[in-house]
Amino acid sequence: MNSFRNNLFYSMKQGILSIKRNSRFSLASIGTMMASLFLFGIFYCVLTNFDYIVKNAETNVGITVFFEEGLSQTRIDAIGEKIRARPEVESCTFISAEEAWESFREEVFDGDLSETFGDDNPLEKSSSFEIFLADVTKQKELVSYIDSLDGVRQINSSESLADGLTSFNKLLSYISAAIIIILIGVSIFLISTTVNMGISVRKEEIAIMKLIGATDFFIRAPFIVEGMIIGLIGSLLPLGIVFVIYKKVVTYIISKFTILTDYLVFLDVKEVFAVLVPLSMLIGLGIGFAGSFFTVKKHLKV
Amino acid sequence: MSAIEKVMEGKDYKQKLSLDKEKTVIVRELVHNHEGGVRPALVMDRVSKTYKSNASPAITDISFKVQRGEFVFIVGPSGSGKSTILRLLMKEIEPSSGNILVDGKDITKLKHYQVPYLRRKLGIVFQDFRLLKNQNVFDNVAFAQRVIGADTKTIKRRVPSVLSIVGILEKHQKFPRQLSGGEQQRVALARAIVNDPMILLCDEPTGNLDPKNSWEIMALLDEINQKGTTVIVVTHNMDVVNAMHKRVITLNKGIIVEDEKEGEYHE
Repeated sequence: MNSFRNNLFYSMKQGILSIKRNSRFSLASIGTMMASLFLFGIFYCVLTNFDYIVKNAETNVGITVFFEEGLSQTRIDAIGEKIRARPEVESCTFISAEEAWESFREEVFDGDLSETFGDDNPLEKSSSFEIFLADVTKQKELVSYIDSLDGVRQINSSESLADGLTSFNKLLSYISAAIIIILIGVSIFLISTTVNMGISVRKEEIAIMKLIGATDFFIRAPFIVEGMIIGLIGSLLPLGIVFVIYKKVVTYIISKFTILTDYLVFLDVKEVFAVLVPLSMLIGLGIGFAGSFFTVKKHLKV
Repeated sequence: MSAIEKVMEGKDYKQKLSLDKEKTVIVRELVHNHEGGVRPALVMDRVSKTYKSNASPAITDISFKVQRGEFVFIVGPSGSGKSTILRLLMKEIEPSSGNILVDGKDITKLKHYQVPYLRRKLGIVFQDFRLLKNQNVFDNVAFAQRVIGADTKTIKRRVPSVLSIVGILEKHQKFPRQLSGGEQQRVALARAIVNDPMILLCDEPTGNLDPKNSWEIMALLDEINQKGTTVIVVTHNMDVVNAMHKRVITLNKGIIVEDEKEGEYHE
């Protein structure tokens, strides 16, 4: 245990010294890592906000369900219960014929014109359920389920909007996955190149270490420490930059495009960074670890 | 006659041993029982090595045994197989056939992760010193201690003591480039013995040294041997071999041509 601790301290010290010794390569690695994780941060902010905006829009996609003529309130309530039990349903509100007429009058007619109808309700047979979905991709499924229920006369839904939002969401996740994979690949390559440079300088040293009985862990550990420190620094700096940019851009958009504020609802900076900070650090450390671990492994077969 | 047969000759063993079957088990028994229970430091049993399938073998059917505390020269002309034996002992290469036992353990069966622990039983000295150029004398020797996980306190106590044995303590802050060949070899020797190895392997330790330094290094090796460390020196320095009156194993074209207790070497 003591020898493990001694080795660990020694490896950490050597890793830090190695960053100093190869300062040019280390700076280049940190720089490229920063560039990759800066782009990653920007993409993450844009994508999570897009996702948030799309999700907001999704909750505005509704289905209206009308009932057969003369259906009793008890049966209508029973239908309502069945619909509410579905997991994809966010809310299901009963709109009585009176409420429907009231709302229609307010939206369509001036007060005077609507008076001509007197106490008559032209929407007498139009009591309905107004349903909003938690997951818009499940709209078709829900419509066919409601259609199969007895007592349902008609279902109004906007398939094209639902489909559009679903495919836009999918496209966003594909693009983000592709970009993130490319950025991670580039970063691993760069870290690996840096470690390779470090190894070529220390090839003789590694051979001597092997011959005097150093374990693979002892040889590998300083390089892994070096890679992980580079990864960590390379992830923390861009986080700071992205933080400042995010705040400024959101404030700018909100102040300049007040007309869009109903549609463009941005995530709070804390909410974004609560995920982005640990994620970036984890990616930085992971890339540093993987880049150095596999590069050193190639050189240990002595 | 193989090493095992030589060892067995004249010994009283209850069962008739078949050398072709359970060879390793037999060797282990011998190691435990031979000469008052002391295990030989090294046993090479019918070891052959061919580097490429179609090439002629570098060594053929080599068998010998080195007792603990022995001083052995392995001599022979270039290409006789001396370096191959050293590389096999360090487990840098694998034998094509045969068994090699270090401290009773068959090193041909070691897994990759076990190799460092074998090498810690061996102190190795090279002709070209192989010191870390960017580290001073103290750190070069301390490095071998760090490899085995020694703590700073132990390192600070042990390293000066070893540097003092090889007579280079006053230069502990110098870097290899600031030292003469003889001094560098002393540092390499200090590094090789700092972990108290069971066997000290020396590959042409005087190859890059003038006669004066050569004698000083050989005197140090003799002193280390007197304290109980097994020393195996691969060399073709006739003067040194003939003056030391130690055991000499002579190789030629990959086979042992002579193995004398107080031998000499003539090209």
